[in-house]
Amino acid sequence: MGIKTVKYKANSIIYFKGDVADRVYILKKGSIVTKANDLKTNEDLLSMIKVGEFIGVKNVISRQPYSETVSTLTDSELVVFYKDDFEKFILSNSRIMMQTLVVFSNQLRRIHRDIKELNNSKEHTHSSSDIEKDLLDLGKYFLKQKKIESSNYCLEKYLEVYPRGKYVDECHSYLDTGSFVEKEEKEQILEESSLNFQEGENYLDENNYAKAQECFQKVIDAKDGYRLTDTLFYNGVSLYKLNEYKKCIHNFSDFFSKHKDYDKILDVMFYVGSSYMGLGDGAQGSKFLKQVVKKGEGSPIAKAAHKELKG
Amino acid sequence: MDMSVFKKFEVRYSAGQMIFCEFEPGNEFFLIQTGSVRVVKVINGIEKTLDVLKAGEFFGEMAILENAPRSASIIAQEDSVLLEFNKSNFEMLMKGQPQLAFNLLKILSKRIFDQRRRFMTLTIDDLNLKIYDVLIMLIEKQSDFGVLHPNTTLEVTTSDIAHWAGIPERDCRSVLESLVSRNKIELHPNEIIVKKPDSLKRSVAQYRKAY
Repeated sequence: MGIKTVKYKANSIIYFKGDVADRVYILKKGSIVTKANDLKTNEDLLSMIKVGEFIGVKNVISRQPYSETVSTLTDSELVVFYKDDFEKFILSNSRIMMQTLVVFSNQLRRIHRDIKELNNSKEHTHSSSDIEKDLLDLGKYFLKQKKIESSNYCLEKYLEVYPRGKYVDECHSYLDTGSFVEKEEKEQILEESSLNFQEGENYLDENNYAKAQECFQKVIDAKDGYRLTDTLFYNGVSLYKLNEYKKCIHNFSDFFSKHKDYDKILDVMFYVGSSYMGLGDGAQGSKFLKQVVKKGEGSPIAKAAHKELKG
Repeated sequence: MDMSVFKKFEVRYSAGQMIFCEFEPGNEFFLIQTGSVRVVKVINGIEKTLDVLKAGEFFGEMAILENAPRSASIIAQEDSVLLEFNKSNFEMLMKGQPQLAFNLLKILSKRIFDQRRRFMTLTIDDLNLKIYDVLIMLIEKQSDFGVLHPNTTLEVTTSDIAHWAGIPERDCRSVLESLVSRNKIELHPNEIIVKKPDSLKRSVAQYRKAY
């Protein structure tokens, strides 16, 4: 192992700020001082290291250059660990590992607090000392944003943590509002889709295919599953009538595998076949149209397919 | 590392689901196995994403090491599998799996450096320089040894920068636009390209020396 004790004379530098951090030290005997820049004032910040204290740990394990300059005040002895040896040492020493975790966690908490203070002094952020109310307010915030899942979480957590809390009644009423909003939103979407669908049908009756297609597209985009097959069908018909053959074929791309029992499946085949014809792909087109003629047996759509085949 | 021994600590969350919320008392800490989570804080009535954590990262450890309520909310960004530990099995875990404890140590120290860096930015009073410093910090974060490469692309929005700098978005936008007009950066909807980070850094260094 490369762990060794090194002796330093008084007033010598152990390392400089900015040096590559490849060693962790423990003060064994003597006195040393670290000099860093104070983050707040940018002034030199001196601190004495106690015997037994580690220096350079954070820098070594996160591969950052040393953040302070360390020098001896008196003749001193330090134990030096190279990076890998330090890792082995701490991995086999759970007590020191736990202590270091707590030290780091404290440091992190402190810097978080400093940042918060800095922001508060400049922005006057709202910060109440009533954590019970903070939790309620957080639930209220998500409710306002209509993020019901998150608001439910916060409000239910409130009831769990403070079953006899000051805001229990308020909390219940917000939970009720949440489930109401959720239900209403679902219904509202469906309502919108049904309106769009109806409007689309009306435009179809007027042979206004462009407007009709717009309406059916809206129903599809809402993704709420409102009359899915009918919507796809009428959307396809509108696209065909608009001579948008490619889009029509695309619209029906997985229709045959997903909705093969649809009552107007022959019509779908007719429009797909005719679209291929429209694109000049007679081979594909006649495949579909022939099936319509065969399966439709004298029905109007079979006759139309027959006519289309004759061209 | 063999993670099969941790099977019984597994918990699953679907995208958008809340894992815990700010202000609730915390008794568990989590290690992300697959997926990712957003660290969210509501500040002045606006929901801010402070960080996105991915597989291999921890969160909630502060509540275990110290007794304090959660300092932010965590929401699953995608379907995620987490390992959930509590106070009583935490020490056992750390002793039984020193490599895991060491990883936690690494993450904590990285966070300390990140936050100290952030603090330094926030102490700058000059609005322009503060934003330059945020850009420099973001470039340092994504490059090895903090090297400032010219024409670095940062996947951030104006509102991200405003948040890092702790200033209103409107102010941030005007500073970024003036940088665009001086050909220092390119501003796109979801990314910022910093053309000459060195020159921004020089301005910040001069400021730091003067104060």
